[in-house]
Amino acid sequence: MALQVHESCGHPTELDRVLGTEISLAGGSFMTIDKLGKLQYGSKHVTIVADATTPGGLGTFGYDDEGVPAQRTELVRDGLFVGYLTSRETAPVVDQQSNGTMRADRWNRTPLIRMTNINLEPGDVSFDDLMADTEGGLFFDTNTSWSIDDQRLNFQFGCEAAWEIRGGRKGQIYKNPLYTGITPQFWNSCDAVCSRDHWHVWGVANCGKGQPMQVAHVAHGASPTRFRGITVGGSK
Amino acid sequence: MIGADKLTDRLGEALALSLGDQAEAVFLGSESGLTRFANSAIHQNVAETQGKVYFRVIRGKKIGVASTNSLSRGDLKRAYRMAAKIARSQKENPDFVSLPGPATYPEVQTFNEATASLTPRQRATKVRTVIREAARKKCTVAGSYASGVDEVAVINTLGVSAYQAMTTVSLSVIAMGDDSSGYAEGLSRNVADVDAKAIARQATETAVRCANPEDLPTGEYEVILDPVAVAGLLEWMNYIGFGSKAMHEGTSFLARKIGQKITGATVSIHDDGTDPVGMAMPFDFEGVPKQAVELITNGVARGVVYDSLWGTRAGVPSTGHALTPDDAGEGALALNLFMAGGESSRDDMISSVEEGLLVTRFHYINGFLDTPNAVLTGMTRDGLMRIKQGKIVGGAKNLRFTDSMLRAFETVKAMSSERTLVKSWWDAVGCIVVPTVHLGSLKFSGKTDH
Repeated sequence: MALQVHESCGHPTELDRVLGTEISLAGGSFMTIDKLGKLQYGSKHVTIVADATTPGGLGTFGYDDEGVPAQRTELVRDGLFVGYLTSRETAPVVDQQSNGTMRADRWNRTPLIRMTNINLEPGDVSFDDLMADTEGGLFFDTNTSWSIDDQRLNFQFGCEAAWEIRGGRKGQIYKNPLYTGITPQFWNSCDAVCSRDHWHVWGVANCGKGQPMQVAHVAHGASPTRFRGITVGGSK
Repeated sequence: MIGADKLTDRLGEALALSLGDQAEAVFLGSESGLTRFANSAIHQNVAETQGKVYFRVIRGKKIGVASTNSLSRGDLKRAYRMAAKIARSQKENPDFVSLPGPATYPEVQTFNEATASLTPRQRATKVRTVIREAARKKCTVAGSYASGVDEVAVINTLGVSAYQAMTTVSLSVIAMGDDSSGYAEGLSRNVADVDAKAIARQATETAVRCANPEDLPTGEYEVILDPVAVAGLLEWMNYIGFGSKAMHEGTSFLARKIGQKITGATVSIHDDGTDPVGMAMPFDFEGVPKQAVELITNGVARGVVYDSLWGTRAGVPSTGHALTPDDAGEGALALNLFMAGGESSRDDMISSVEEGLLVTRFHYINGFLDTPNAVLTGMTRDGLMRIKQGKIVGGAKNLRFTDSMLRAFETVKAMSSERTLVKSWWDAVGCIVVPTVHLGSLKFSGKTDH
């Protein structure tokens, strides 16, 4: 789930990207300003926050590189798109103050809006109960490939393995499975997020952005999550 | 710019400490400038001067590497000693035999004074040209104009002494209309070769042609791939298939297939770091002269590239494709890829298509799906065009391809005789030179709404 959050929520909510200044390399964002507060990004189970204060997160710090204190900001609340990652220069465009995400990866590079710890907030179901509640499906684990379009809509992720779920139990294992979707359709198909007991902060130490390229350390809190009606396949 | 004499003297002075059985110093330095633009305005102009020295020290079969970004005598010696200390605590590498010995290198012209002296104002003037050209067609632009000088020096205690100074200039332009976009780029050692107006016009014409894009179903399409799209595929094929590590570990699509036909008979891909058509660089980061290496010839798997360590593992000499010491774990990689052209032209290829697509470029390609079969996925971007009855009839909304490149290149129908120099991940020392390619089939597995 960490990479899913990273690619389909973290990057598209970077306000500099939304305003077009990353088009020359990584692209733009479908989460345009006219959609702020209106787009039903996900189902009611989906709350995603940018929290630079998460204990132990790779995206945790005290102040960003503009001197703005680290803070926790909602990006998606109960499925509704409500916020961006912002800087002092970009925040006024949406009538806000910076939420402290400007970071450079070394002393001689210009700070950019970077993800902090972009966390999918935990739900209230245990993993065992979630599995038991799943009549038929697949359990995907460990991303091995990732690709998403330049507006962050169409994505396709490959995984190390997937297990068939039948009658609430894990069964046959499949190698090199992949799943694909369109970001808001995917997140709106979410019907359960596992509880904090299963929630971990996963580090991403190689988030690339900008020209010249800068590599940031970010993280994503997430727990196993269920989605309905997803297109899946294998690479062969 | 520091120059060969000073670098050789300074690094040689450090190596004279004679720590370990063998030792090597590699310098990478650059003076670069970048002007970035978006929404038809410059929003970033940066310049930086940087240098880094890697020391690699050998003790028996133990290898230690340390680096510094200072050229002061004290810092160099400190880093060298650190590499020696690290070597002491390493496990022996059974494949290590020796650092390379001295060699002679072909003279390759890689420096252009006009590029080296390009100013921010000159870059800004070119960007203004781009903005004005796009505005004539009511398009906005985003992109980057970069220029710089790179220096590489490699010396070792066995007598290797190599130095090269290189200039690089590149311009990338994305032109955007209301619901479409187009892309074009230029890359050269010589600033006079990068025609900002022509690049802007090409990107703008594509954006205009792609207005009101159609929503197409997924499936197999006959496609014409423009050079930037072809280069994107080759860049990933290189990463997963043409390197020594992928070959040795058996994950390459060439592994256990050398001498076998793996794709269409017209497909020939080789690497040549000395060909001045590309971004030439006569030696690798161990100071080994670059050899021309056939990778796929007439559809038959021929080989991969090696550095000295992986070459020893495979029982073959280095082909001169070592990466920098901090990337050595990746094994050797091809940096100067060339795909042979055909006898056709882009226009003739378009004319021959009854119903199909023209792809300007791909975005976010990933090749870790099924490397033995060279399965890649990625999105089209900045100019997916429909071809009907031999003519481009408009744009299409972007599609995701997921396909085996071995299968796709089995269906090559034609290739242009003209080839284009395309940017790669490290422009200063690498590039991809490719034709426009006409495939009978490429499988598109997904779609998006723009």
